[in-house]
Amino acid sequence: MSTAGRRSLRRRVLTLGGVVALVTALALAALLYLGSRQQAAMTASTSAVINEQRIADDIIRGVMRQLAVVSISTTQQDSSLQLQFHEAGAAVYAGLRQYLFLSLSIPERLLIERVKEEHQRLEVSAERAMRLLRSNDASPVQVRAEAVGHAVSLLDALDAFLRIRENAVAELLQEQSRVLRFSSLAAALLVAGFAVGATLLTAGFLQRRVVAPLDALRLATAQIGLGNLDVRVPVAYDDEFRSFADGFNDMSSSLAQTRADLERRNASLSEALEQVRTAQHELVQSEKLGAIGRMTAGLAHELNNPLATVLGYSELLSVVLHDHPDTPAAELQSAYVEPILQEARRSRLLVRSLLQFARRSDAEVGPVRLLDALHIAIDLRKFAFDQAGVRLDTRDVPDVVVIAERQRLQAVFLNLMNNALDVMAARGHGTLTVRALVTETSVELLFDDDGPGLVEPARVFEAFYTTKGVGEGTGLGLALVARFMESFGGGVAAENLPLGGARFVLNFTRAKPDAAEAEREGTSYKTPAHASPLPLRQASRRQLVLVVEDEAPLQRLHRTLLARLDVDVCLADAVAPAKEMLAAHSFDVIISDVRMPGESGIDFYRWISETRPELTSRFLFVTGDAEAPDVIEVMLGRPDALLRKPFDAREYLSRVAQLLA
Amino acid sequence: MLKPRRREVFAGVALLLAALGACATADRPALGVALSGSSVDAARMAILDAASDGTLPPLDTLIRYESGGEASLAIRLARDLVAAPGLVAVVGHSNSASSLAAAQVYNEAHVLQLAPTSTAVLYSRAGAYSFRMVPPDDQQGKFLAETVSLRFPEGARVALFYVNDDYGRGLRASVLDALNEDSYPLLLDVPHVETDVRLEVIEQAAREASHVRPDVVLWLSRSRLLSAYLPALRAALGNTPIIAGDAVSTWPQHSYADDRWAGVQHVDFVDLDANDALRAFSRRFEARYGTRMSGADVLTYDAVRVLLAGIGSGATTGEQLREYLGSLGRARPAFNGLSGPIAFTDRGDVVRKHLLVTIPSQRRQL
Repeated sequence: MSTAGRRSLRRRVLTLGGVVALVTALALAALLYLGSRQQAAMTASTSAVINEQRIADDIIRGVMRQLAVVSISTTQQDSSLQLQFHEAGAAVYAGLRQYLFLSLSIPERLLIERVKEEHQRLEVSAERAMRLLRSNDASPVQVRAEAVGHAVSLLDALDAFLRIRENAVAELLQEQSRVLRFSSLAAALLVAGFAVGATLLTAGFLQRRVVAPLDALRLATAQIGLGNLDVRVPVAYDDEFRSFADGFNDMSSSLAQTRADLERRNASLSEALEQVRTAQHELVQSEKLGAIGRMTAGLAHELNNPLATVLGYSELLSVVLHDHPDTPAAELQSAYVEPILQEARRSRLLVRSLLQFARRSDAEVGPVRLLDALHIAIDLRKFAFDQAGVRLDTRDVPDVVVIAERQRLQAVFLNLMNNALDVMAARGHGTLTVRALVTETSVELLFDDDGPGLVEPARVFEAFYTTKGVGEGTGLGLALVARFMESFGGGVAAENLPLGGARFVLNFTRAKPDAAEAEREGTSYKTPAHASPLPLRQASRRQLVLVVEDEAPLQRLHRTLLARLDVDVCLADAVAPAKEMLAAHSFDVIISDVRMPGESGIDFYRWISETRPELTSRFLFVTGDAEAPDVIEVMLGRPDALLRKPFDAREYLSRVAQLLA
Repeated sequence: MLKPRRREVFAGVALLLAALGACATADRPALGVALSGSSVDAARMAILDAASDGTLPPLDTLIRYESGGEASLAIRLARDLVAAPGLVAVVGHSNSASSLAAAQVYNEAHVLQLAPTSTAVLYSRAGAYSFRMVPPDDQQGKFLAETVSLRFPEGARVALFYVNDDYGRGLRASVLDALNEDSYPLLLDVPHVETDVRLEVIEQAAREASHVRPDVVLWLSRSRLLSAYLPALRAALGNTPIIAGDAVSTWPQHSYADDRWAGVQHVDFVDLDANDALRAFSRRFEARYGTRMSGADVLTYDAVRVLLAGIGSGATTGEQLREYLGSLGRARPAFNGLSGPIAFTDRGDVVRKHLLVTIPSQRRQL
């Protein structure tokens, strides 16, 4: 935009002031001029009146003098009288001549001519009368009377003329008065117009030169406030506002540049954060995988031992039965079967603990039996502790209920035990003592080890802080412990013990024992006592049981066990043939696996609920995935319709017998 | 393109406007004449002559008779004339008093007034639009005084008769100023008015004149009054020389069979016998109007012709005519009139020589 014609606001104000002053001066000059004209006109009118009155006075005086001379001449013969008569006549004539060249109306001019003619006649008659007196030729009385008559006519005409002139002058004065009033009104209007004009001019000036720029700046500022940094204010203003606008535009440009830089940095940070999150996730996964790997390794050892026992005793039993068929059953029972049962039950316990650990949680914080969660963790790491020669002492942990989330709590215990195991396994001995300090409202669980202690106790809960070697730890384990404890409304602290070793203190809010009854029932997995022999029933009538199981060994097991209840068994390896059998026969009990090829046992149960609802009360699930949400959902209404794999034969027969009854 | 009907309407409107424009420019200048007696005939003759020689411009002529020389009548006449559309000039009036009275009316209307015979000194002050064909009376007064002095070098007793108006008063003052009072004592100083021709008044004046027995009678009044006074004056004074002012140059309008005018001398501005043109004109005038032409008639004739020439030169307003008359003898040549070259002074007068004309006996002529 061209900068030509721009000026500073100060100069514009000065110019405006100059214009206003000039207009004011012109208006005043116009008023003075009008006033002076009116005054001059009034003066001229007054002078005209005075002048005409003086002329009239001269005429009248001259006429009177001439009449006086005529009168005197009747008694006095003096040559000077005629001279006086002519002088007086000349004065009258001079006055009439002045009238002659005035601007007169036709009637006025006619009257003046009449005055003049009457004066001429007056003079002629008067002189004739005086000549008659001088010559004594005739009586001058009549002639003097003529002169007087002309004088009277002259005065009448002069009077009429003056009256017309007075009227004319009066009209002129009225006209001037009207013009004066008009001029006054015009002056007032001029002043008012000037005031309005000056006001409008000033207002327009302020609007255009001050308000508009400020408004533009205000709007631009508002736009800036709304984040529109691309807004610019016009710079076509006066210097002051132009510099302001330039500064504003520079500022908005800088802001826009800064914001762009920030956005770029933010994008970079977001990208970096995402990378960090990805890395964190990978680390967490790595930590999880690591933990799972360690746990799996331990679990493999835990399971290998009982499985080795079971396998070994089973082979021995087979050999004994083959080589010594007559070996007494009691001997077989005590020497071979009991160890097999014991180790199988041990394996079942391990698997159940693992399932409990892996059970998906709804992540709701609530009452949790502290000891149950601790035992699960211990069960998972007991073998590892034993292998490392590290003793795990949990004798002083009471059966209390705390506010926590079970799975996370198990993870907390597992992490602390793993940490203790890691630092003490290297030297091949050590003890991890778990104790509890219980009050009415809180529970403090202390994990004391006699290891080398913490290098920086204050930093152990920082993410990625680790003193382990590369690849041995992610540095997230204790950070997760701290986060999980915070989510419980509790906390964790770490310190070194005075006599060596480290201490981790877990603070819990204590809950009422009643609140954990359901938890206790739902999570109980204690092995029932089994001193009595397997149930054996002699049926009074033939009863038919449908078993839906896809694995053949389990099918044989079902058939073998159900034989003890004296029932007929129909086996189906999938839901579809089971439905066909159900259509063909009337079953007293239906036993179904959950996870099978094709339709699941859940689907089968729902189908029965819709088509044969009377059979739902005789339905029994036998599954190793009892913690699955769909299973739990179905079992909510009938918790007694579920039997967990691996099941106890005695419990199995007892539950089926109850259904058959 | 306009539709045919619209074109017709448009053309009609254009023609109407053109007609209105033509009407607006059709106002022709008008020339007024306000005179009396044979001067009116002289004005008519000037117009006719201009028409015959092709110099008459398109104009209207307003010829008004002015019966008598009363100022009031002249004012009314002037008022009527200036009311006429297109009036640019008036040739008039009959005498100094009437011309002077009407002068303000014309000046206020910006109508040029060209007075053929008005010699009153005061007329020079009448206004910018007031012109005359003769010089002012201050010169005539000197001429009359000189004439008396030449006629009576040893001195003479003077009887003065004057009309008590602008003309007579002014001329009387001029004569008395120029006349040596000691050598030419004023024995009788008789004023009169134009309208008073009562016999008793005339006889009283004659008796007074007879009583003082002057050597010369100076008549500073008009021919009509002198015509009335002459019989009484002749009876009272015999052949006492009567020397009159220029106002008597119109004596032929008041000629009688008694030859009363014979021997009367008067001031004139035109020598009717000066050249063939004037003589031919005089013959034509008499042949046309049956009246003996006077010098005032020649001046009237020239006044009309010079104004016609001015209008013919393109002057269509009083202002333009004023400029035209002012340019004669200056920017353009003096107008060649019958009475001689016509050019105006700054005061609007024509400089002319004064002539003393002796009225011949009518009997001899007849």
